[in-house]
Amino acid sequence: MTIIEAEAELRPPRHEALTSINTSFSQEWPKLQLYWDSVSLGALKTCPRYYYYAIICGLRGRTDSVHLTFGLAYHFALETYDRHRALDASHREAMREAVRAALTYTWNPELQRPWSSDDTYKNRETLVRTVVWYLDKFGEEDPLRTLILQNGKPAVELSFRFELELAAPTSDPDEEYFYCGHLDKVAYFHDQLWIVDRKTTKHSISQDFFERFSPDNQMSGYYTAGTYILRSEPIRGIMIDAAQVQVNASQFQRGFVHRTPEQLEEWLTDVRFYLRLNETFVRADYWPQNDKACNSYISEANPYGCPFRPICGVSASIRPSVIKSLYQKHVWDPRQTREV
Amino acid sequence: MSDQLEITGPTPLREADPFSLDELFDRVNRGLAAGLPEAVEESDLDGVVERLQAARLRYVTEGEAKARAKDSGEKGAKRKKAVKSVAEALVLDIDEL
Repeated sequence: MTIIEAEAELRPPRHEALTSINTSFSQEWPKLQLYWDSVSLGALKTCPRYYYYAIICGLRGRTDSVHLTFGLAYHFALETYDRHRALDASHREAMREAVRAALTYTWNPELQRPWSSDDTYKNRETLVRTVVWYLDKFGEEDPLRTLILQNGKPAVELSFRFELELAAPTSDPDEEYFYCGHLDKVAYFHDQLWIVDRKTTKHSISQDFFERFSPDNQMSGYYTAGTYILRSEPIRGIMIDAAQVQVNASQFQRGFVHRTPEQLEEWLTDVRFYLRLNETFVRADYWPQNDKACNSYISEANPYGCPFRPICGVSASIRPSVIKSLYQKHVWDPRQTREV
Repeated sequence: MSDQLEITGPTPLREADPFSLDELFDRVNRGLAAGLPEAVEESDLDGVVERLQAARLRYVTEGEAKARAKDSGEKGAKRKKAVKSVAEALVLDIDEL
């Protein structure tokens, strides 16, 4: 079966510089975000103040997250493999290019040295090992067959954008809300179409790992996007393609996530509710703290909780100096960036 | 179930290929430092792949061997229990005699 309609606008390469201006915001109300993705929406849902610092102010810690770098590099390497295979490269040739992509991505041309990670689980060596072991296990005989779009390109890093059918409160009639993102891959599995999302973790992958994706903001967004951009073929579900990165080995497991039309409608209703709530914050120019969420951000990437705890934990008068010393500017623009 | 593990591993290492994985990484880094895509040798990338494939094969093989050993150990324990039961029954018969 072929795709009749698809927004197959492939995401531009990662090395293109981010604009310092966030194009996802209103021209008329500079703090009103119009283009949302799961990162920005998730931030708002967790804590409005976290959203304010991360997205409106565009702040990020001065040290790069090893998990973010590892995840992006892993995605890029496997995307490279898929693209080469779609161009009829052999498995061996495509794997070579995937390794080249992983090593190039983790090379700093300015400092003329490789990415330095002191994490024993996620570093350049375990990255390349994970890529090779994954492709060794799945590459040549993978039951997943990447969908080839009508333009002949593989459905990898598939950008999407759809209207949320909610007008913005500005006077510009063209300003409305959109939801954006990028699907890692769309592929056939046993003749049914699946959205494939890749995840890396250092923890063991069990049924519990897959159950945490229902409900889940990111997966509901992907599922909704799939129903919009793949209209001629129903999506069977989302396949979580998980990699456990250990110190001396990498293991892989695939699990499945499903949504009913009712669940997707409920998610959309919730999204519109949150956007209207954000309008309240924008009008007041104030985003309140959710001080019950400070520990919600405990994860591999943030083992001590919310990364903005150093800001919220001090008096407002001291915060500018804390921000200046501990954070750097990093624009998160859903119209341009991706997440892992 | 065959006792022989069919090994279908990576392509054999090239003869007279002296570089370790770390050395291959260093060679790739020198190519990247040169700033030209062609400076990274395809043979070095293939070498990285082959060494990591060999490591995976060792890991998988060792894992299967451990699983078989564990399985044999469990069967042995059951056999030991069955033998003990028979021996105890025999003793009783002798006493009755």
